[in-house]
Amino acid sequence: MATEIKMPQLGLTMTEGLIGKWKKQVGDTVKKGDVLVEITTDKLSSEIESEAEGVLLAIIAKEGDEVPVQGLVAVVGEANEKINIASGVPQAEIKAESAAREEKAPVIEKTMGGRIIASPLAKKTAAKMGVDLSGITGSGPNGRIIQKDVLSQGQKAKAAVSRGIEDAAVVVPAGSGDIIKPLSSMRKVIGRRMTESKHSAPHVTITTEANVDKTIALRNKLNSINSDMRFTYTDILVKMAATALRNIPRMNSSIDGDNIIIHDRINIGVAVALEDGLLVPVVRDADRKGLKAICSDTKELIEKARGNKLTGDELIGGTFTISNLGGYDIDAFTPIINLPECAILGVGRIVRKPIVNENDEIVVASMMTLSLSFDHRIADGALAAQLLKLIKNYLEDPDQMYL
Amino acid sequence: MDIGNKKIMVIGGGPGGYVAAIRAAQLGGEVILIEKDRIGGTCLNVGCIPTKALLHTAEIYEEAVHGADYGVIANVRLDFAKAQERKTAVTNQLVSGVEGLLAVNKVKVISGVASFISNDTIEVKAANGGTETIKADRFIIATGSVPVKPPLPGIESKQCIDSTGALNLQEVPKTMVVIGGGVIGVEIATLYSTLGCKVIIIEMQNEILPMMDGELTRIIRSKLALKGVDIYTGAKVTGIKDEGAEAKVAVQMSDGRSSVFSCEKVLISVGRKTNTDALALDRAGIINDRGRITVNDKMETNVKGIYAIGDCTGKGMLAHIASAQGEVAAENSLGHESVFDIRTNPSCVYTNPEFASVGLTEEMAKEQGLDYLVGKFPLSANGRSLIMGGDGIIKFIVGKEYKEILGVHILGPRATDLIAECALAIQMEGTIDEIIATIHAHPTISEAVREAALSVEKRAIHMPNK
Repeated sequence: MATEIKMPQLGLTMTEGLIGKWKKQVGDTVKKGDVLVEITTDKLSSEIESEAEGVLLAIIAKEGDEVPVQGLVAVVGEANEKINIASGVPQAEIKAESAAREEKAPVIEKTMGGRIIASPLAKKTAAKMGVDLSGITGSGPNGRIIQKDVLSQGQKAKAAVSRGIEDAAVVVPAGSGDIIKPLSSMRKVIGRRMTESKHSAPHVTITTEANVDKTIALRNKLNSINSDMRFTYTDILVKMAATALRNIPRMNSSIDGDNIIIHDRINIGVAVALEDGLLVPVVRDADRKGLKAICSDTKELIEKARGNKLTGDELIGGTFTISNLGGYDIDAFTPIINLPECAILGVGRIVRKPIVNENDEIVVASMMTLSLSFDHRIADGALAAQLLKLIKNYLEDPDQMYL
Repeated sequence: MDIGNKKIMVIGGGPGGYVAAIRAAQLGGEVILIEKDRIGGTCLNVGCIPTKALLHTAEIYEEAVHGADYGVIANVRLDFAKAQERKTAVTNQLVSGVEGLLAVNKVKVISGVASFISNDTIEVKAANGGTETIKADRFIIATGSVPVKPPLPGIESKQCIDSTGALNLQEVPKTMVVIGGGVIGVEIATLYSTLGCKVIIIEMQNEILPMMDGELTRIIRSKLALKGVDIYTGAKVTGIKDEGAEAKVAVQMSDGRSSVFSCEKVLISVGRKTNTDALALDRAGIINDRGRITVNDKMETNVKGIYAIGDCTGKGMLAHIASAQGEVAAENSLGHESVFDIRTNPSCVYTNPEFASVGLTEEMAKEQGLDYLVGKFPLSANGRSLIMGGDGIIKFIVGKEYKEILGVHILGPRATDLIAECALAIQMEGTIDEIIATIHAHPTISEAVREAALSVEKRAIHMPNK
């Protein structure tokens, strides 16, 4: 009896998954628990394991396909077993799916490095001019790309460069020593989400400097009396941001069509850098949690993120994000909002420098630059500035958090 | 799309018209074909096919004459009446074959001469004088061409023949003057000179076969000379005089001197003109330039629903162009999108050895100011060619930067068949790399095509690369 392998639901809000690299091919023997294929949702990368023992009889979803949750991905059964792929899946659904696939097929073929139909002369011309054939619609027989198409594309690209216009296809020069690597599923998701954010949310970034002497003292104190855990500045900032958001709830919000949703819960996302990518696991109800709880949450989430073990639910539901690049000696930057959140806090390094204190004396203090990017559709500068000022106040004098 | 149930009227049943008719029928049109004479037109009846049938006799005759070289000793005698009989048999078989194809495709064939009455109606005059008026949704004009009779003094002399006459001679003349060194003149010169006739070609231009690559043309010219064909270029016929058994042809030579040649037959092969007089194009409002119907690359005339293809457009005048255009016109007439592309059109001359060409000649590449490279391979270095006792040369003209194939010129045995590979390469925008990467069978003449491509980069295997 064949077993249908379906797209799992990896989180409450997951609706579909993107098929990545197949680890097994049709005809391969598989054991229960063997990884069949990599998948990516808009939040995370994961894998689908075989639920049965036998032979991979059919791959239904190709690399690059988006499959809805519970959609058929593959079939595992006994060797030589005759399978009827339609079984168990309503006919209409299959039709719709395959129709969608057919419609997408040419695009996928081109972008996934499949065969591009171009004349030998067109290929040579493109290589010489550094024109990417995959972006060209051919005018030859059956859509074949001919030299004329490459030349006009080359001219368009040239014109675009000279006009400084980005909307024409970008020409990627490829030299002989260059390494060409296909985009990973995660890079594609990051690319899509970052582009979408920059395109749909008008970003404003405001910056300020905070004297963090007292926060440093607080952290040292907490770490000296707690041997079982080490508090990081990120942990403290999670707590401070959450407390500030509780006081300025309009910055803890999302835009949804014609409405602004002001979230009751305050869930702080923490950006975690991976070898080739970025994940933002979420510390839930950070305003109600003590620092210890926050610290153990972030520690666990970061470890899981680096081991690619996060579940979908740990990646969703954020209402605000903190991205800390202080460890890389960055002072300030312009973070991109993690939609549908309203704002993101960029944290710079702590640097000791001379400042003028309230007594007009030049003293040495530990300073940190904060960068807050916010969605101008939801908030205006004054409101965002209030939030940033409050966080700055907490950093300069953590006792204010009790107010 | 607008398919089927349309009445398509094809005027003329030559290689353009019958192909258009069959294609239109395949696409669901109701097709009527009007032919004034025999199906197959000039090509099948008085052109391509009969010429090649007689040339094949000439080829066998020549091989037989030189049979001793191959170890076959025979007492060779030409039976020209038999050759003509075979030519007629071949022609008849092909004509009835086309008639069968038209019948299978349910094309209604009407015998008669068509004239436009308006832009949607024609009148057909049958041979017996009866007339019939027919309306149609679409017209495809494919009335072809006829030989030009230049206004020369004495052109009506009984010794003067056109290509049709030359193909129907009952015996081989002893002497013949060919006026016009184009494809027709050179092929008939090849035919009769091989069969023992003394042939003199008079060409007004500076070279015979002016559309072919000059370098190879000079080789074929010397081969003709070796067969005893005298060629005078830059020479102008001033008059023909009927002197009973012979005619005297007066010629002003390139150096200004006058010469007179006596001959049994004078072939007038100075060109062909469109055969559109009977059509009354003006009544349908079809724009034409002295009978040459003006068309675009979809084969549309200025009148919606009326198409013209082949020789009657006055361009190309080759059977395979007419056929290709016929398919284009049929497809467009039934709502499909199709355009005619001349780039891959091969030109073939049935000399001995054969001469075929596709794309740009070296002269054209120069004239267009292109940066090009040339690759050449002599067929004397090709095994199969040597076996067949033939020689010649293959010449590639390729773009300097990308090595794309701009033109290929072949002089040698079966050149007319070999050229197809090169036409395909041009159609595909191929470069020499694709020709080189393709394995060519051994031992064939096609190996030399690859060698010529290799020689562009000076890496031919079977000859020293200079």
